[in-house]
Amino acid sequence: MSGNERNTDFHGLGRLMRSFTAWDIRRMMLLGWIAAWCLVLSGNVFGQAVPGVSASVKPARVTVGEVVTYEVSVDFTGRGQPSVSVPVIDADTGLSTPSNARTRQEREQYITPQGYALVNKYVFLYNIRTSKAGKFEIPPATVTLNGQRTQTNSVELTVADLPQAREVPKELEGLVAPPLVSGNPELQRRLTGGIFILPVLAKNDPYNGEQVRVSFHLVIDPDALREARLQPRTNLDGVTVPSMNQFIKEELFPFPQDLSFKERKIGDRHYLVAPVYEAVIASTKSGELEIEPFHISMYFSQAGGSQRSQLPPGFANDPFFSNLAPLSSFGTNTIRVIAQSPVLKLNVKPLPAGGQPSNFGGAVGEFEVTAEVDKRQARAYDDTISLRVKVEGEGNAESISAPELPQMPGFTVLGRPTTRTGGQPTDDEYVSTKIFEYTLRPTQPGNTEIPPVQLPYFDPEGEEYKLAVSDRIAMEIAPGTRPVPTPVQVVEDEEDPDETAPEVDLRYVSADPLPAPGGGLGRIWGALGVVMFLMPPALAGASMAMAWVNNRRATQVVDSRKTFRSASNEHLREAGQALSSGDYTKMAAELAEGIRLHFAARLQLSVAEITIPAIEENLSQAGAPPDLVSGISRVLETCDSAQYGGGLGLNQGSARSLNKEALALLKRSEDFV
Amino acid sequence: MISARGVRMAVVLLAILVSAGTGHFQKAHAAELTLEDARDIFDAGNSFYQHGQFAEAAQAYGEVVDAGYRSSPAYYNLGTAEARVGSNTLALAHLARAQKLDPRNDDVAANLRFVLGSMQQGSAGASPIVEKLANQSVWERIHGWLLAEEWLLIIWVILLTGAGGVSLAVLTRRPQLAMAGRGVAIGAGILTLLLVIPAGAQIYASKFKNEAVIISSSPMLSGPAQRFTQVQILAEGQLVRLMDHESDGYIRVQSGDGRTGYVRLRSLVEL
Repeated sequence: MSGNERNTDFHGLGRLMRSFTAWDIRRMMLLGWIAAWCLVLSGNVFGQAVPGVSASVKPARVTVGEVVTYEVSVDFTGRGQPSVSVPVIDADTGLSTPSNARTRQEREQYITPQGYALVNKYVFLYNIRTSKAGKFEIPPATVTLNGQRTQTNSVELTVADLPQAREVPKELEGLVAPPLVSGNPELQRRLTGGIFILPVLAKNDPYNGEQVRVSFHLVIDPDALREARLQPRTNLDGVTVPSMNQFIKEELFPFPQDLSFKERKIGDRHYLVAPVYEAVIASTKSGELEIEPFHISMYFSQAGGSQRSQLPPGFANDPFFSNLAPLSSFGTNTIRVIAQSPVLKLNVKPLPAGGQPSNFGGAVGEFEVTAEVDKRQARAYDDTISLRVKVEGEGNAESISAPELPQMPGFTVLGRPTTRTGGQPTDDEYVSTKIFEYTLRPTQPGNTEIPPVQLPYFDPEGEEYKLAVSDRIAMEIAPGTRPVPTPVQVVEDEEDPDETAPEVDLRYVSADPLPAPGGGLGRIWGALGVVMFLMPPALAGASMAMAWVNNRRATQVVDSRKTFRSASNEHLREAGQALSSGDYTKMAAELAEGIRLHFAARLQLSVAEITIPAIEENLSQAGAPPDLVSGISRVLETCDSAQYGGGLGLNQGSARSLNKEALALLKRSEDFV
Repeated sequence: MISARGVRMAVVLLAILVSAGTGHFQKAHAAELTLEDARDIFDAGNSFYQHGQFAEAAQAYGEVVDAGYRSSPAYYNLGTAEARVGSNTLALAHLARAQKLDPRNDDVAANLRFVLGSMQQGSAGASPIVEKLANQSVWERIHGWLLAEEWLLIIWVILLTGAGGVSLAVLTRRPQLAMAGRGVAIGAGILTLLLVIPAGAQIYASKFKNEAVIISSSPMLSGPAQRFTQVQILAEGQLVRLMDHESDGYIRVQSGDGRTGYVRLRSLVEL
């Protein structure tokens, strides 16, 4: 069969199939392979499918106080970086706005409706804190990908009330917070009052700055654990110590490696109590301040399973947990329980303003001041003396500022004192110390003393300001052995005694802050300097340019004055000729024009401004006598009357006398304009 | 409670203490100092000084200066600490530099006088640096009383006033004002011409003189390496003029008698 026959003979599939040669099949396979790759490429490169977005919350049922995870999942092909705009939730509703975002990114390859593609999966995780019970609907979040915005589904969350606490002894009322057991309200109810953190605060209404001892204890009721069939399974999961940001905190007893439980009977119940944390705190401001809850997260096994549990190191040596050991053979369900303390509230009182010493530096407590020196004997100027002022007592030393040193004639204080703070817990109090170390230079030989150093402080027990005073320190200052150098006479300048006064010692180093380089006048060497030094010539140049323009205008005025003057002369000459020829009308017209241009040239007025009143005014201002002013007015009026009356009233004699008078008046006026 | 600044200060102090004996507190590190770090080291120097540890204080101030924070307080403290250590020539050089940067500072002048007095009493009394600083001419005192920048600022103000006078003279129509403007312009011109001389001298002295002092006696070589022949010995306190930029730890200088050669960079301090 020839190729031509194959192309024209298409009757039936069988004949068609038979008509293909092996070469045709290979060519079709190649085309199919290319088409498949096009599909893949179209899915990967050109596919910008609408992203699949969804939202969920885990767990969907919790109790008040628990934190849930709000999860937004975004699946899409192609390129892009999705961003999520979480719904804003009013905290008063009982849920917090999703916060503390974390992102997880995954990539998977599979066939999508757009083709075989690499699917990007982003999971955005947020925390939502619950504070009220109820059924909530979290509004949809908005996902933005490559400028396209898509909304997720809304999510339902059920928050159940905390179970009522079991009966707790009256002594513990208000001090017990229910534990957090995620997703198991029944167990939470059983454990409430059975496992909790007990806060102990030495004083609820301290003065601002007063040191108060606060401690936390893990309290467990073994009966409650037995009833719940719980036993400790692993080590402690986590501990959250309250930050106490509004206080200055000195830790006395950090969270221990091993808990040491002791049995205590509170009311009619037996508890196992282990101290977990202790600190002394001092408030930084007055008002109602809070201490956040203390959390201890633990894992327990619930009896009923097959796995054998192991006691954690923290509980291993405790007799209570040893008693629970038989239960360990049944443990299988791991349950996380977070024991917590309630929020502690302190009503911090402000320090009384009355009687506060002017040099009060913030010391609150009960303090003693001692002062000592490193040497009692020194040489003037040669030696330096270290004066150590130690403030010690029950109170917050950290906030005490350096006491003002008394006047010390014969000593110079060099620089600022160095400070060192420390503290030592005793059985029932915490003694803190602050040491201020001053460097003194003796300047006067002889037997002298360092006067007592005083520290005012507020005593919260006595509720009054007191004064702690150190002892005097006797000193023996010998004359210095260093020869006093002769000053260098720099120049013969006897008028300024300060500059040539002998220097008995090097002056002390500068304690000013180190200046930043390149500041101040140094900038003059840069572009600023160029601009600055271009300003004066620019100003002068601009002024001269303006003056040149003004001069040019003035020249034009002068030119116009010259023109007026020559025109005036021309008109006056014409008037003379008209007089000779007997044309008195023309004479009057030329004479009037000549007079007006004469004054236009001299008074720097335009032709339009040359009126008889203007001429009178300017001449009067220039000091011309009244007869001259009135004469010129009269001549102009006569000329104007003759001009517009056709020479009426002028004969040869009167015209000649008018011309003569006009010329005489103009000549007289030159003395004034 | 120890603040973050306190912790940083402690680390810096420790670093300086450790490096004080070994000399390993390198310039390369110092060059990367931020202003905050430089201030910490400067404060550390003050703390050392306060406790009588003058060598450590000098080293701390030196780090600050080497890092490029070349201000009058840094040189003043460095010079004062060196004076306490007993390195008088070095102290003199640094104090002179401090005075160059802050010519009217009383403390700098006082300590400079003190060190000069000590050196004149001692054996180094005749050194050129002492001679130079102790016998400053009236002219040097006049132009050195102000910084070059201050001279320029004064001249600028005068020029600006003169330009105002020119403007008044050419723009006003009132003859009296024009006359006053001309007077101001002429006066400003004369004053500028007078001030340009000390200003120029101060600019030359501070920016182009390139003077240095030898702080420890060292040979001047014909090339920038130890293998080159010795041209002369430069004694401590001798003044030289810096000719070229540094290379391989050497710099070309011209000594007082006009001879040129190479000296180790660490043997001199720029004035």
